[in-house]
Amino acid sequence: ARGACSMEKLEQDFYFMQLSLTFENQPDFVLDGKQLVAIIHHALQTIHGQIGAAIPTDVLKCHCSSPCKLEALIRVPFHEVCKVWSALSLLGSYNGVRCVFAVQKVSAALVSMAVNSRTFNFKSTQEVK
Amino acid sequence: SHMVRFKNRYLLVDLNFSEGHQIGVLHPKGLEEAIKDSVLKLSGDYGLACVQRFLTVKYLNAVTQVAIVRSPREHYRGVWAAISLMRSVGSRPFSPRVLHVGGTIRSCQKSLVAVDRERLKAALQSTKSTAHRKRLVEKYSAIIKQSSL
Repeated sequence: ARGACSMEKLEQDFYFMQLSLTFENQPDFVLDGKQLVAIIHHALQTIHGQIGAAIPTDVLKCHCSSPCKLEALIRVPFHEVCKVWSALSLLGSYNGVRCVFAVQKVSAALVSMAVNSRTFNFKSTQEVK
Repeated sequence: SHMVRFKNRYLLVDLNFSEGHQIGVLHPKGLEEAIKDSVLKLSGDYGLACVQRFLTVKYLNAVTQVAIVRSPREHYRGVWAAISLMRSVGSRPFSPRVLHVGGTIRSCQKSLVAVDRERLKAALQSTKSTAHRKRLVEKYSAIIKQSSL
């Protein structure tokens, strides 16, 4: 019956995005968290103007897997995820170097970022009878 | 069958030039370009792309410092914000204010007549001489008549 079951929404403060940034050639600036914030800010400013540039994005994890590639976990406000995702997808170059953002995982729950279910190894502790 | 209509909103804007009224120096196209620049600055490439097809200045009276701006219905608030944040057009400083939002130009014109009447009242209250008052009434009657088109 309608109303018989109620579903509580999880706390909706932030969206977390696992993403990678790949440059065509090795850029002459250092690839770290601070630079990533600047790049995201630039993308938001281009596509969504001053309103986009005001969106607070935080870098939670960041590491360089290769000289041209940066992998990161970022956090954005819940209601602005659409703007951030679209701005990142449309960024073609930064400081003259061509680059591309690949968003791998997006979730409102940080726990989703803990493991990748495609590569997770299940160990059976007990045989199911 | 009925065609899907592109719905618009018409914003009545009080231009409020800092240096007094401007005669013949501002073209509707100039104001339109300034509004589009402001939208680009505030909402970026996406924001401008949302509105630029239907964003136009439909009526501009630089003497009475009034304009009617058309914007797509879904994004009229973004255009409103962009207009409010403009500070100059060309080299002329001004502080535009949106007075009325309507679905048709006619509703903006009705509102404009009401605005002009209020301005006349305010102007009459600030003068004492009957001759000056008579001149003011004549001047505003002409403006009100012109605004009704």
